[in-house]
Amino acid sequence: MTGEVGVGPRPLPEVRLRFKRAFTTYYLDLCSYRVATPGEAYEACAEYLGVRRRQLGVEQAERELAEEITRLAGELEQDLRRRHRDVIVEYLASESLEGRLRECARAVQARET
Amino acid sequence: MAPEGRNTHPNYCSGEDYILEFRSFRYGFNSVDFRQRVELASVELDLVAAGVLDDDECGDLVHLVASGGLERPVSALGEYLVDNGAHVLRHNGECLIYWLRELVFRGAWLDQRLLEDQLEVVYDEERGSFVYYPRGHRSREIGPPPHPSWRDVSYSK
Repeated sequence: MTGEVGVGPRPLPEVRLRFKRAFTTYYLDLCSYRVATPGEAYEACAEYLGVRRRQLGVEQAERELAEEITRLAGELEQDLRRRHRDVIVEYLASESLEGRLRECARAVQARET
Repeated sequence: MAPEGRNTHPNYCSGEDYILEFRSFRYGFNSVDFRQRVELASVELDLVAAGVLDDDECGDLVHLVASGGLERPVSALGEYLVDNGAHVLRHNGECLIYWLRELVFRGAWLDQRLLEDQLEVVYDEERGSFVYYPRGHRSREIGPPPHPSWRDVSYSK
């Protein structure tokens, strides 16, 4: 049998985790006075939103996006509070984590249109 | 895109292919501009000699700066960076990616100040390079930040 062997989209939990990791790196760079670049976070976000749309359908994915961003922000904040407890209060006060997360999603959506 | 909760500085913008942010600054670069600046920064850090990089090598450097890592290098330089990551990506305690981003950002910052006519540029023959001053303040030279050198572990073909 001949046929194409392709790699399908990665599972949603996997791309969600990749997005969380990439965004965390970007956010920590932003807050710690390093020159930061959102490139990897944008890429991971685009992959995550794409897989999410395919899984949930465009309409449901869009309808529930705001809620999902809030949920993601909560998870990220919890994780950061655990791993960076000495600096995180200052970081969260200086940069809105949820605001940056929404900005990231908006930038990706703007690039797609 | 309007950023949330950020001060409004005049930002350098040659495109939106790559973004660098520092505090309330958000600089956007087109891919050609970014690539040239990354190459220049790698020369400034003595990682490579001027004018020796081919397209793939520049591509790997750009990927490194933009994504903070290099999983699948496409060039000899990329392979060199991955194979010698422990010595090159972090050399004498200094992070290569940090410094490349820093110098790219700094160069764009200077260019933006020039565009706004806030700087004077004078060619210093002794040093063989341009020197920048805030307009009207010749005693306050603005130069590249003191930075480490990667000469010991530089890449050569």
